[in-house]
Amino acid sequence: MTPLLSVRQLHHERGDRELFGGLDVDIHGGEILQVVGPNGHGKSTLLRILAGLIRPDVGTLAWRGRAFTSWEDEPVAPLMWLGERPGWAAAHSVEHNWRYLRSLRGLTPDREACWIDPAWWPRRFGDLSTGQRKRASLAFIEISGAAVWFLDEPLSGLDVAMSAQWQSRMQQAASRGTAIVLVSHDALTFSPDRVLTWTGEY
Amino acid sequence: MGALWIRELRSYWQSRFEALQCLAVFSVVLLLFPLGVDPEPELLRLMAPAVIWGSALLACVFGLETLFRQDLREGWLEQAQTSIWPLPLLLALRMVAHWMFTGVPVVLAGVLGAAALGMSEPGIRAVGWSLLLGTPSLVALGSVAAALTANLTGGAMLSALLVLPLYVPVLIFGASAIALAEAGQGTDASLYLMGCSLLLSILLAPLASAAALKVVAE
Repeated sequence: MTPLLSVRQLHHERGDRELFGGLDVDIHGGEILQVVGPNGHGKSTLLRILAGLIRPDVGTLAWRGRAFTSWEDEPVAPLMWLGERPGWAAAHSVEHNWRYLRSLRGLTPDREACWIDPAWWPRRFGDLSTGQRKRASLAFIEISGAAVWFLDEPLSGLDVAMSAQWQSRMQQAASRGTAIVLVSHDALTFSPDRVLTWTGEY
Repeated sequence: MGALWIRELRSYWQSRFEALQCLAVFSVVLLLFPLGVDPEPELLRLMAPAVIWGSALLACVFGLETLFRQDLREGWLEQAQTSIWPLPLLLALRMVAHWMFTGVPVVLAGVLGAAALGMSEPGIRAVGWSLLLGTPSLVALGSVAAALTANLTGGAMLSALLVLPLYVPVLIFGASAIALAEAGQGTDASLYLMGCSLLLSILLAPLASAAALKVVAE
């Protein structure tokens, strides 16, 4: 089966330090891949490269078996991204953010029942607590129907109960065929399909 | 596409008082200049083109800092890059919204200011046209500098330094259009040249800004 996303012979430097020297990664549908490792060894950079945000110095990125160029001109965005900053505007209400971010990805902008508490819709995103903000951005990702999710520290800021809830939601999504790549220091309650331990050494 | 445009307008509407600071800068400079010199009508009319364009330039530089900074801080760029829309298009929408809230008030105030400085009717018309064609170019050119300095603290100063040389042609043609009109001569040549530079900057600035933002964000 062709992997959804694959990287071959990835070389990338930051400053004058080599982060990756010939790394191969395949991501298949329905698979949860956890990237773990100490800080500063390029986990987030790897995530950004896989999501097409950074062009690697050397190496090829393939999407569904074809060389990746950009996500533009797809009718609906096939990937979801959650970085350390969620991309929601603090000054806008949750609903307005929702409509905008959905439109960016070619989805119908109307709000839908999801992990977002209905009482949050009219509130300014900046007025939500850290955990609520995280939950809103994860809820947005969950019902996007995207084939791949890239999540950088999705569990940080969530309390124990919410973290457990989100993990079971990730498993449900994976069972529906979504591929999930997450960078996380937290121990997961389930064992992911694959763990990529990245220490920056070979 | 509509929803994308609405969000840009909403952003600027929410921070409209901040955006109107450009208008404030423009008006203050325009008002203070005549106070500093001998308020002879003849002298004022002679200085008017330079004063109007100089303050328009300052006002535009003043507003550049707000163009991308907040979005970059909130992680908007990653969402935009993983979206189905080309980044330059999203940035072009931003520039248009920015111009509507910072440039348009300056154009209107410029026409009023020209009248207040005792300019003739063709002169006032030239002020209106030259600002209308010139301020969007200032925003477009400035967006490139704003993108390059978007995540630097104290980037405003650097972006002003970067962008001022690019502003010089707009300033020269804009001020000369007004001066020519005041002298009773045709302004078409200057205005056409401004139109050309506007088209060029509208076409190229979103592409350049997108490339700059990507570099800055890495």
